[in-house]
Amino acid sequence: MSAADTPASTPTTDTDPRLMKIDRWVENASEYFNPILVKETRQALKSRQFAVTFALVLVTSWLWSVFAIFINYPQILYASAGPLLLVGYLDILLFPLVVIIPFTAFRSLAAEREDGTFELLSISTLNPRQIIWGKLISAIVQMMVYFSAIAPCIAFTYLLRGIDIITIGYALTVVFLLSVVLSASGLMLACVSRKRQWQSALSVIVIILYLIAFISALTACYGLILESTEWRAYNHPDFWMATLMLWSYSFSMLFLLIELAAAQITFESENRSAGVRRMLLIQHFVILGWMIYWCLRAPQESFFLETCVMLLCLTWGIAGIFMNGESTVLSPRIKRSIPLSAVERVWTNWLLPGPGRGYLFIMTCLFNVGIVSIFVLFINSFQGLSYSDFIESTRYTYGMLLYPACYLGLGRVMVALISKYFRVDIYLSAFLHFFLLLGGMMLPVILQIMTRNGYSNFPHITNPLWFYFRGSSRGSFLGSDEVTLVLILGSVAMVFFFLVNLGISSKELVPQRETNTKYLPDQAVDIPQTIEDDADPLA
Amino acid sequence: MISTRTPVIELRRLHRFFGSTKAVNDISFEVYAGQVFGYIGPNGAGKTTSMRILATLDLPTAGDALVDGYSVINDPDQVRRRLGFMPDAFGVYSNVNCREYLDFFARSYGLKGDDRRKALQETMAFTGLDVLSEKPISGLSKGMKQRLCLGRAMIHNPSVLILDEPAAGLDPRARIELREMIARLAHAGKTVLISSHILTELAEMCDVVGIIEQGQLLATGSVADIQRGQRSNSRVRIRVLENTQGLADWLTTREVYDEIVIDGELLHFSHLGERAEEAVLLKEMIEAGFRIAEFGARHSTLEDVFLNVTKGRVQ
Repeated sequence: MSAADTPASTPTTDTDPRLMKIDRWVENASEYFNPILVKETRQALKSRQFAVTFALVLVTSWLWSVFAIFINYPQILYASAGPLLLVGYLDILLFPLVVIIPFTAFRSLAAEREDGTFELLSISTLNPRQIIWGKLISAIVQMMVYFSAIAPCIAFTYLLRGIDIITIGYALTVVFLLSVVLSASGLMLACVSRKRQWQSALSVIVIILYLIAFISALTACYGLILESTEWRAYNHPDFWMATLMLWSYSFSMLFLLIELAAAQITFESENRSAGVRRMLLIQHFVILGWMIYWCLRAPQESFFLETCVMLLCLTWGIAGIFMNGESTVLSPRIKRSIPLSAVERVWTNWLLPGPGRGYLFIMTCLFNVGIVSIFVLFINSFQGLSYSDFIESTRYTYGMLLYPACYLGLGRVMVALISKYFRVDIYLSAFLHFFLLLGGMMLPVILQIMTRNGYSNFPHITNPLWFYFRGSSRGSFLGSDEVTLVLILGSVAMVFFFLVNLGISSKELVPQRETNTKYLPDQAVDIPQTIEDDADPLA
Repeated sequence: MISTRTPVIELRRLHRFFGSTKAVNDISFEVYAGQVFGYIGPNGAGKTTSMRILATLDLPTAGDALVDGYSVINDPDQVRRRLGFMPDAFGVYSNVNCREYLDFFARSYGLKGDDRRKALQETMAFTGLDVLSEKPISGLSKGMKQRLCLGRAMIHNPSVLILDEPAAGLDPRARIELREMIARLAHAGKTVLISSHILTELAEMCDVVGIIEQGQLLATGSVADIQRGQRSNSRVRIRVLENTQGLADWLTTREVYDEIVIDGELLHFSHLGERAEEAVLLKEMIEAGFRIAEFGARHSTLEDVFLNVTKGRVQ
């Protein structure tokens, strides 16, 4: 290869040394950014779609300004026209932010996987997180451009009556956060499959989801800014604590989505579970932290506790249906990363992939939720919570936790049996669990229709939704025999499945550290189990 | 092959199965620094699969592949730093020109500042893309796209290059230019693993070839080594002015001549020995009194070797 003696010049237009200097400075500064951000920004600046959308946002916001002033003149000079104009601008902004940008982020990554450019990217030294972050930050840069386009109009609303700077800032921040989370979800979904037909199906699903989010956001904007204004209790500390809670949960969800996306594009022999489990755990503690805060602040309100427990049950239930489908075998690379010390292993073992470890991880977290909930209720009982409420909340919380514990235990056994004959991956596992849950919900209905004995609560004990919704409406339900039956049978089932799963996963739970990094011919026989026999990527 | 050298590329009992299809079935070979290894085989033989495993795009079902001693399973990051891969089909980004494309990959490989600028300039000069630096990729010809992809593969100055069918679809001039570029890379000390269907070109540029069929490596070594392992190295044609049968009988007594066919004054036979022996043979025939009017030998080419070694089977 010929050596270059002179430094390369950046191609610029002709000439002006000052422009050259700025160009060089910008180029040097860009080295501190994610390469994908630089590439996508370059692409976006030349993209027709971006130019058209940007121009449309600009023109529509101007038209709305003129139209709103026209229909409100001359009242606009003294009446509260600010909220109406703000809602209009936010609605204009919502379409690119809630539909266009998240869908562009989804397509950007999906297209890389379809066109084969992702393979070139994946063999570079960029790690999966950098790839996902690069795409996400590119989306954020586009959001900023749209915000800047509409900024003069938003500033104009501030000059009008009826709207304050905090509401404007709050609304813009929520819209921004929503757009970022939706973009991250788009990136996560883009990583689900490499197959073109799945990508097409996902594109349709994603666009429908974004349109639903868009319509919901429009409605929320209208309702919260024009109609229900009582939420704007900026002087009340609870408002800001609730805001902090919303943001902390949104951020934990955002990072979880990023970890999920990164895990899917991580090389197969690496530990793809650790990051996701760490983020799930962080989210778990975020929810628990807020649960404790609100329960101690309002000891007689069981709503916070029950909502948080329900959210945690849902989170761990969804996580579990995927974890139960993980491969039981660790790659030599992961085995090599297992620490030598037993103390370190106690922590890292939870983060290693595998259905047995995943199941135990979830059971531990659900157990943790149960203990914390009962502890909080116990403290509440000294703060004025009545004994009957204490008992009811304890029964309800424990019942809610039993459902994911039992279904995941049964699901894990089912997956373990099926995987003796078929290869079960995380998606098939999710489908199996879904049908299991559907069976648990539909079977009581079918039984009642067949027996024609009229409605009875007893058959419904396998239906978690029945328990959750009946329980939340209180009344005499939580003290009923059906709930007692749920608690007794659920406890027995949970312990039974737990013991069965301990037996199934005994080998998996104590992984052996790989010390031999050299190749042995015998490994040719051992290694096949570590690698999943997937579809031909060249087909 | 000198066994004391450390191989730069090493395949150790590599297997890759897709269901019941054994795309790669127990392949082992070694490639040493500065060598150009030609990987040849019919379509569906397993070339691309094994190259993808080496490029850390796929995992073996069994066995391992090593680059500079780093396993593709255990140390894919280290392998990626040392390896440039040019796939047979590759996508390009829209709204990006040649310079931006290479610049993006230079950044992706962690090159910064002057290192990045230098790598960019050298790569564009090497591939001849410097004159097209501002041209959108979508407007490039197939040959230029191949150059761009080669440039992308070598932007981070890897010690190993894996080129999967780089000459496919190129016109003769572009093929010659590509061949020259690969020769220059080898001269610069790069280890190159290349697959191609154009065997004449591979024969010229490769130090070692491996012939693969149905996922199995049938032969490996230099072209001459493989030829020696075959039933014949060359086909000799002699025109004798008289006593053709006598010459045939005379040749039959010698073990290195085979498949003797008489066709009037012409006599054809296969030669199993070294090429130098053919000169000795001519001298001995004349000394033995045979009146040789014409003596010609057609040595087996890589194509002949390939056809002899493979059976044309597909999975």
